[in-house]
Amino acid sequence: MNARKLTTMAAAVAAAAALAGCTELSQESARSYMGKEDAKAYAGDQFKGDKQKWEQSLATRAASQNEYLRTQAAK
Amino acid sequence: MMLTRKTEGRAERANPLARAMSALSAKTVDRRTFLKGSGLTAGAAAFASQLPLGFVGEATAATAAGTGKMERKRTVCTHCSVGCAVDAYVQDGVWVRQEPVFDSPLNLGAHCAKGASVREHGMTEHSHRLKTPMKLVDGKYRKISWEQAINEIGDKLLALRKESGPDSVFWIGSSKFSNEQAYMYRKFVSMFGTNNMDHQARICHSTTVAGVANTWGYGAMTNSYNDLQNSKAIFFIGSNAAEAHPVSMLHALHAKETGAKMIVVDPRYTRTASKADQFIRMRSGGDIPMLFGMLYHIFKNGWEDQKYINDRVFGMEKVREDIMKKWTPDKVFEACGVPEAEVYKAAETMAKNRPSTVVWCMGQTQHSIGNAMVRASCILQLALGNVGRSGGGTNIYRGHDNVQGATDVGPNPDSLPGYYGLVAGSWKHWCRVWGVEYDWMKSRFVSQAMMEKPGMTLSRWIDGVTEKNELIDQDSNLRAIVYWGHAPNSQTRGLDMKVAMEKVDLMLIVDPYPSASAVMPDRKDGVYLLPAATQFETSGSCTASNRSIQWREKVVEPLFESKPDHTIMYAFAKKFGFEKEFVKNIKLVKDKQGWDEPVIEDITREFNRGLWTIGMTGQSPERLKAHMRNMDAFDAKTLRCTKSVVDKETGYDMNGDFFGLPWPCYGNAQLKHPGSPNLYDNSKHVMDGGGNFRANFGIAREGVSLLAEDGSHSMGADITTGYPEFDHVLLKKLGWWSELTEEEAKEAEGKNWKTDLSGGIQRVVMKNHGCHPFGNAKARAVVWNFPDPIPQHREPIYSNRPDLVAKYPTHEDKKAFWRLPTLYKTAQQKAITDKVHEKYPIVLTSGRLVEYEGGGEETRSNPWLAELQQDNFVEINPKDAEARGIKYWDYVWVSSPTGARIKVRALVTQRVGEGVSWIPFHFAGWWQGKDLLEKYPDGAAPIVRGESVNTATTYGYDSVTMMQETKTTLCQIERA
Amino acid sequence: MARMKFICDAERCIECNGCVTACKNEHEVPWGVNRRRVVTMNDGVPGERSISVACMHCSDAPCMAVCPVDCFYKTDEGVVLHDKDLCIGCGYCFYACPFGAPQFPQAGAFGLRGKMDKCTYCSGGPEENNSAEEFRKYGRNRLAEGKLPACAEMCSTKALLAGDAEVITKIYKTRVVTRGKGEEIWGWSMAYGGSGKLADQPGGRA
Ligand code: SF4
Ligand code: SF4
Ligand code: SF4
Repeated sequence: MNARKLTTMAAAVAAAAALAGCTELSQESARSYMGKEDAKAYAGDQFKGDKQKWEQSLATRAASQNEYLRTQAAK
Repeated sequence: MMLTRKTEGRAERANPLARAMSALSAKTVDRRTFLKGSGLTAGAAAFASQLPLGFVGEATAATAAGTGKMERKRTVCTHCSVGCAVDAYVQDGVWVRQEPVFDSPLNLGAHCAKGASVREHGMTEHSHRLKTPMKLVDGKYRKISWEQAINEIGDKLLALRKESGPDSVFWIGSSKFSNEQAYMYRKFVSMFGTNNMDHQARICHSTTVAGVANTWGYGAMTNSYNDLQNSKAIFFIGSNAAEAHPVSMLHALHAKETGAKMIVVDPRYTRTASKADQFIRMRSGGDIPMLFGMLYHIFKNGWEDQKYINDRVFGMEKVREDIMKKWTPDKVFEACGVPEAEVYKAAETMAKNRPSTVVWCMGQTQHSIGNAMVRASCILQLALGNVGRSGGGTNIYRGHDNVQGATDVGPNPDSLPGYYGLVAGSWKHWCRVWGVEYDWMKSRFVSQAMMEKPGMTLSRWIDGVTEKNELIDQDSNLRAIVYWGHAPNSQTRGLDMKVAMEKVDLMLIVDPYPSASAVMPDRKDGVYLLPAATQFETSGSCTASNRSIQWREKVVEPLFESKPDHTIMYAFAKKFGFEKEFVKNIKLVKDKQGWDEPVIEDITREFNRGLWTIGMTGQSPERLKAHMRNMDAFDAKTLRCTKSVVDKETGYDMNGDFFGLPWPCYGNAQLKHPGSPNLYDNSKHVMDGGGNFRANFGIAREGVSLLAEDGSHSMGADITTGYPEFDHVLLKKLGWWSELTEEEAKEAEGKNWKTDLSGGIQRVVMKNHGCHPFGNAKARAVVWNFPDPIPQHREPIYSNRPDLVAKYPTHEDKKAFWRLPTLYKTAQQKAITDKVHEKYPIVLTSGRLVEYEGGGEETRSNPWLAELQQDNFVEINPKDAEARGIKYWDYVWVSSPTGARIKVRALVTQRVGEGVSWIPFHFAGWWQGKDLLEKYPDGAAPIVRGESVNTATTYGYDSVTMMQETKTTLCQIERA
Repeated sequence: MARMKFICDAERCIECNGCVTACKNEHEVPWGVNRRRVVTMNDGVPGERSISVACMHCSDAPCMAVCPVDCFYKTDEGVVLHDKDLCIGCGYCFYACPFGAPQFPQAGAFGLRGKMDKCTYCSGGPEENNSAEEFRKYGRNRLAEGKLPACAEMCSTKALLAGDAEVITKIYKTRVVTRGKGEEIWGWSMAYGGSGKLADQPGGRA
């Protein structure tokens, strides 16, 4: 499948987005998950439950997406 | 939503990977079986037993459990000249993960599809690498041992050398070599005894290198991708950066966000164009009318920078006269199809938003008048006073990851490393650096004349094989061709190439993949394939487009039976009997299989001792490695480290350095020149990376001084007028000689700034007096040594407009041009007489896709990339398609005046204008409608194969550099 | 608590497929399965814009609502994940998803035959964090390593942003303010309900 062909569906996706408000689906809270329980993201070896440290790490990574921080240092 | 679902259906149906695998009856194996079976020779057993199970993830888990150390190796993407850094995580010898390097000031962690895919470079179960040496026997590739390969090939080459002379072999090298390997390849082929060598730069930016260097000094990108952030207007002409240099767009779009105006001039509405403030659709090949059309308005409105022109430019008045006479708006419109209002608007934007920069690429270089087109761009920037300014400059985006480096130090047929040329003095300089006798070197060649005569070019080697012997400018025709890290499908005239490939006695292909060379010719024997390691399997430096040099660490051991290029070169040097001379100053180490490997750092140190011209002398391996370990020290806009940052390993302080010590970084490493982020920038001191235009063309021309006017000089220079380049005489005259140390003075006696191996001249001139070793002169708007001193528009050899050919004919034919006769007028006139434009009315041009690189073999063998582009196609305008009954994604035949017919899909789109078509050039593996799958060595065919546009392209070469004309030719398209 | 979201900046996306490939690389997603892809509007004509699309980890996730075996769950960070052991591959979620995110591998090692696969926001699934089992079924768990999604971290132009909604809307806001374009955040009103306007987001307010 040529990536360039995907373009035809673009309009459709965009249109779907524009038609927001599928209110009849907002009942997830009523359903209950039947699968295995998942551990917290910060529960593994890396953070050993230290949520603060984990959040700090994510914040640093998020800041890396902002090139303005790397370029204004010049000023 | 329905459409979304359809997409899924299609994605599942077309699976060339599955097809390729089953066709080769390759078993689907899990990673473990694969790693075992692949014989990842170095300690294969050891790590196969350590790697727990079939998945990388389990190896990761094993780390957590405490077995198998995870190591980080820092490398650089090998797919374009942006130079995006990559962190590779390696466990038990397997590259298991890839992480972004946010610290890199060049890419800030970003990657395009190619960079995001480099971990898969043939090491997973999907490997399509060339795994062992192979020999063509009875039309089938058979595995042979390295020993047999080196012996058989070596014997054949030695026999040819004896029978027909060393010039009977053409050695194509690679822009994917590291600097060290590229430099060694130049040396290696020289020691074989010929200048018949070349690499990708010939068909990439050779016209730029020649045109730009002859205008102001160095043939390189003047500023950097990062510096775009300082531009107020960015003018792209013949560059589709969004696909060819994707991460450069991070800087361009940042600039746009902060107010820069973006203009794109192209025959296609490219993805780059979709981001522009102004898109100008231009007739392919109309660059000079377009650029001079802009200059017409600039001069008419007095927008030029008069003081700058007076101080720093030679010949602008003559150019101005020529332009005002020839390029009135009506003529511009006639020749390039752009209406006056649009040309005016672009000129005004560039003039009123300074500093403004010009970006160009293959759209401008790959023409039979490419050298003139690039000079027209330079003249625009000189008129606006934009060169030598941050935010301005000519930002010439190079292609391959190390095409800049290979051009600077590698296999060029007309020059020794560092643009020293081929005259006796140049040879003597390099012989001194290499530690060999000049007379010995000379004895390797047929004669001193052949030693000083530029070799043939990559674009024309085929004629070196097939041209009548009496018409070529060397004794024998070419009898062997070596493709060492180079694809054949990037060169034009595929039909003729196949004939040449079938005619030579020997074809040698050294590459990580078989490449299209392995399958193009219909031969029964006489072809050898040798597996080279990729740059991830060795270490070394590479030069990004902005001249920053980065060091790659070795990520993993060479895969399968592959060997790094410099190790293979050494093995052949030994076979040829010049191994001692080859590595005089370079230590050898034994690799895991007991092969001798020249030590990379020693090679760097050796070229550091010789590359004074371009200032690749200050970049010691230690400095480069310190930069790679401390990338966060460098600012992403200025590239500079502005505080004290000390590298832990070496104790080296990077304070003041520009990232990667962009050349020129003059003097030896102790001088601590910081590198030059923007060339010719006289607002800075030379020891701060400042400079001025080079004095390289004499000091006067027809009674007019070529030196810079009084008061125009780099900041803080002791000499405030123009001055010539420095040598021992000038130094003595100025009374500066005594500032050399005793040792320096001994070496510098009788030398100049380029040949003084002590670096003393450079040190005294720069550090003590703030002057530029290469002098201080004017840039040349008129390059009197070129065929068209003032750039002139000339129609391509295959033009769709006979009326314009009559007005703007091409050059006269040339004899013995790079050793070959070369047709211009004869070919163009024949096309007119034959009415080629009636039979082939559609303009054919070609270019890049973001997913693939170059000839594409490596990237088309990568399943993550291959999945994204599975078929080659031609972009055709809806009107042309309708007229031919062609529907979207139909197969069509594209035929060309050479008689070639290629079968591709039709991508009907308004991206191309009426009467214009475009085909990406990365495909190969089909030949005029036929899939060549069965001709590949087993298991080494790329996943995606397709028709190569260059099977159909035509004759046409630049009148200075032999650049091929790919961007403007003709074709016809019909439904298949 | 962080609420993880994606922003794709159409003024910056250059359709380079870096994000798509980063995802393939990080999770070794097999041929034919695309957790992320890039769609282009007005291809080849003025107004051409591209958007990188994957699971948006919706607030009221339609997939969750329609799953007959209730294999979906949502993490504290708002990431929508599912249990492949439970999934029966019925495809309802695919029909419900406005972004076309759920994928159905035909065969092979990744996941299990016929099970749904989709973007996990690089946070694995209901297996031990960063275990071999988690990788085999769901791919890597970058969040548990304190990293953000591979696709966004490697985006060539930083068009694709990932992370806590408030943090990334702030980053996005700097751009919108400097260039005066892109007030509507693509897909947000569909995925999270309410307004998709930058000014209406916590991080987007002045
Ligand atoms: S191909 Fe170029 S832009 Fe893309 S990741 Fe590699 S170096 Fe960067
Ligand atoms: S968040 Fe992770 S899983 Fe989702 S698309 Fe991005 S890379 Fe793929
Ligand atoms: S990597 Fe970024 S710019 Fe490239 S397609 Fe993905 S979102 Fe767009």
